[in-house]
Amino acid sequence: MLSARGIAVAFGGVKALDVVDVEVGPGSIVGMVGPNGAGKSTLFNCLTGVVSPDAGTVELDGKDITRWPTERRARVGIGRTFQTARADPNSTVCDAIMTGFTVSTRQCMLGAFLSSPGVRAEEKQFKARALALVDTFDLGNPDALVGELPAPHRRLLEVARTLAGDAKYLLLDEPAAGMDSLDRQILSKVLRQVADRGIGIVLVEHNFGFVLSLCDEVTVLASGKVVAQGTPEHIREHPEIVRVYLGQGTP
Amino acid sequence: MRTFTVLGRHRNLLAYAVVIGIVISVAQGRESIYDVGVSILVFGLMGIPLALMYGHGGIISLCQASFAALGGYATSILTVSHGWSAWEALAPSILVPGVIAYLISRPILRLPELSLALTTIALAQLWYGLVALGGDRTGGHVGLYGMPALPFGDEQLGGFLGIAVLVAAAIWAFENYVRSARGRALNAIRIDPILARSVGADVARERALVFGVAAGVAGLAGWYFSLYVGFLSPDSLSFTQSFAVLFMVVIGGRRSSIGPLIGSTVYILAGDLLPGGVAQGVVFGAMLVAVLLLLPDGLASLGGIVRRVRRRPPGSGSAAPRDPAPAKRERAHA
Amino acid sequence: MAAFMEYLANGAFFGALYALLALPMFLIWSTTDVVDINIGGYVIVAGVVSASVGGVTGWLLGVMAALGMGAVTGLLFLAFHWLWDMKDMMRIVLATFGLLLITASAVQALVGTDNLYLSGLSGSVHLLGFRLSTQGMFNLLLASAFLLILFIVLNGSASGLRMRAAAASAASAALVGIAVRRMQFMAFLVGSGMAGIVGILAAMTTGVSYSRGLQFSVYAVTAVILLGLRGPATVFLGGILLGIFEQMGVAYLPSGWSQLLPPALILLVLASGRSHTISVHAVRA
Repeated sequence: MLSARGIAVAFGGVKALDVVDVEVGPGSIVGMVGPNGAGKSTLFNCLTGVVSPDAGTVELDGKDITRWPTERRARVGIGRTFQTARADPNSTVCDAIMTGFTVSTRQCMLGAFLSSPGVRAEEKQFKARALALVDTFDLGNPDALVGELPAPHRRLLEVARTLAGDAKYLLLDEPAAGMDSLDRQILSKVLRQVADRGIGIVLVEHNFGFVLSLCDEVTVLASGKVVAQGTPEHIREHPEIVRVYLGQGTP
Repeated sequence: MRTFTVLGRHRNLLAYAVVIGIVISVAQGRESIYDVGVSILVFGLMGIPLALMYGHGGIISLCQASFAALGGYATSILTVSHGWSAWEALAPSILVPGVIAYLISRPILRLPELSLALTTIALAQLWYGLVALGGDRTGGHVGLYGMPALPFGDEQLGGFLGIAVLVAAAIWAFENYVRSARGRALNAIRIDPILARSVGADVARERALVFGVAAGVAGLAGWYFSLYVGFLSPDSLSFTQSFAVLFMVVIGGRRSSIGPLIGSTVYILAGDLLPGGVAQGVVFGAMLVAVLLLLPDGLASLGGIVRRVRRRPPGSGSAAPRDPAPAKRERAHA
Repeated sequence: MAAFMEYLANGAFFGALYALLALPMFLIWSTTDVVDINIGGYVIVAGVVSASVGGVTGWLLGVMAALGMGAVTGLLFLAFHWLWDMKDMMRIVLATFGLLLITASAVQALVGTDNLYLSGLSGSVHLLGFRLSTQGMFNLLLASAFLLILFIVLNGSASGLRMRAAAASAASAALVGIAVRRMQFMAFLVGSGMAGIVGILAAMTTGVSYSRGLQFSVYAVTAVILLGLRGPATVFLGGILLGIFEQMGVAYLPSGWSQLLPPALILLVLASGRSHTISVHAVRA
């Protein structure tokens, strides 16, 4: 269970988040939606360790990780993606995914220099797993350069890299932004498979329809407060949400 | 298939071995050629770990020669004053600079890259001053002499082969490292520290370790150098040489295992051809500026550029990307 | 006690040169994210030109030579940004090393290896029982005047505000229509001019030779990071402090040890690990 309780963040007197709770259990997908400036990115940053909240706690399986830096969270199984794809445009797709193994590698420095049998075996296994991920996400040629991938595929690549790191929880920052419906289908399918393996997923999104169709739990934020929280069915029928977001029948 | 990939990984090593073979067959035991070769290889041995550190880790050192001097002085003091043999002095000459470098850089590497570069300039000056003030222990400005000969046999060829094998080992280890998970973490840190931290990399630790290893290998070069020359003074391995090592890495190619050797060959041969310090300063300075501006990955990247241009036009045999949209190449960033 | 006060005053006088050099180092560093190692080159060029020509003509030519070199560095900086999507500023810093190497070699070729002097103010003033060098007092006064001018320009004038905006955040400055690249080029130009004045004062005080370029650059960097990249006044104070430390070292440490002070200070400051000592934007890597 990854949970944030009573989170409050203020930037120079402006309340970005005003006592917000959100939690995700193994195998479930939780979506956070809301307009720009609603505080969903700030909440996301509290979970990843980029922002330190003024009040409230972030806990992983009962352990307080509120003040842990990003790399330490990564090591206990919290993986994340970024809003703008950050992979090196000059590396190959396969290498970019293999960067995700940094968190789980058992290679020591000397072994890496000497290319010890253990290191070679692990590299072989990493390579096979990376190629499998390339397949899962339908990313095409694993030896193509990241810079040559179209933007939506680079987002899929971000998710693939995070999955490589054996994360127990995935935090995805607008994973579907700029994707067409085909790419979104691939993403939905893969995320559902991932959740079925017992991995908890939190995602921040603009797209209401995508979130409602994919997630088990949805939190709607506006002006730093929770407007509605619950299952997609509950959200669809929530009077406030219907009035403000779904009234025109957009999704 | 497997032997092929191993060769592919070590094709730089193969090219290097071929060149060394040619040099030996051409030299025919002529001392002057071995001398030039040893200079090139000693600088190369200091440069190869710097290429790993700068080209892959994104951090610059301007005190590689100081760490070599540290190893050299450890060797000299242990052999001359304490009667150790050359082999016995080998481990301390690597460990002393390596451990010192790691410990000093660890807190500093929490700051942006620039801070380590400044630290290394300061370290070089501090070390130079301390050696000069060292009195009888370090020989002061005069230096130390009377070290035992290199333990590679009496022949010139033995000394040359000794450093050639050390450099070969450095190339081999370099190529292994950049293809390991640790190497990928190092590169991720250079390209994007925030991304690297999100995949669990400890930025300061990874970099400090590589800095320590680079210093240790420089210490090994210093061990060889002090025994080869049989004399060591503060000016034998000073800031000038540290800057030269960085110059070679940049000119030859900071991301390549043999880039530093290309650079040191250019440096040593051009140094012999150019008439004196003034011309050298102008030419080397201009070369440095030009390569940094126009060819950031140095002369070694020319081969890759040619290969890419030749490979591009036809379908190149690999599977086409799923999306037919024209792939927009991003400008290579450093 | 009297001796101590005299060392203190002398330290501040020497520190005035470092402080006056820390200002352009800070200006260029904060506006362009580049540590211009060629700054010592501007100093020695202005110094040797003014000393070889002499007189007021010498001063003018010296500053003009420094300005010309600042323009070269600025154009090189623009060329890097024009050709590449620059993220790795260390590449430009290394290029300024190359420029310094060229500068120092050119100076050596033109005027040789001698330490060149320019006749400045001679004599000393007796004040409250201390003997204070006139040239030293002049250096300190002039440096303080420049700090004041820079302060007024940066805070009061439109172009000064634009430069500060470009330094605070190049991206946001560009958004509000500031020509960031032009501001950055101006920083090199203004900076080299100020460094040129340091060159003339140094030629009057201690003399200047081709080999001192890197030393001046290292002192400027030390002065800037000593108290952190917070603002002109802080780096100025850093320069004065550096001068005082150095004089105290000369006075009270065994001979030879005082030259270890600047590098030891750099190490101490950086090892204390506060990020604003090295970056205006205070970001952790």
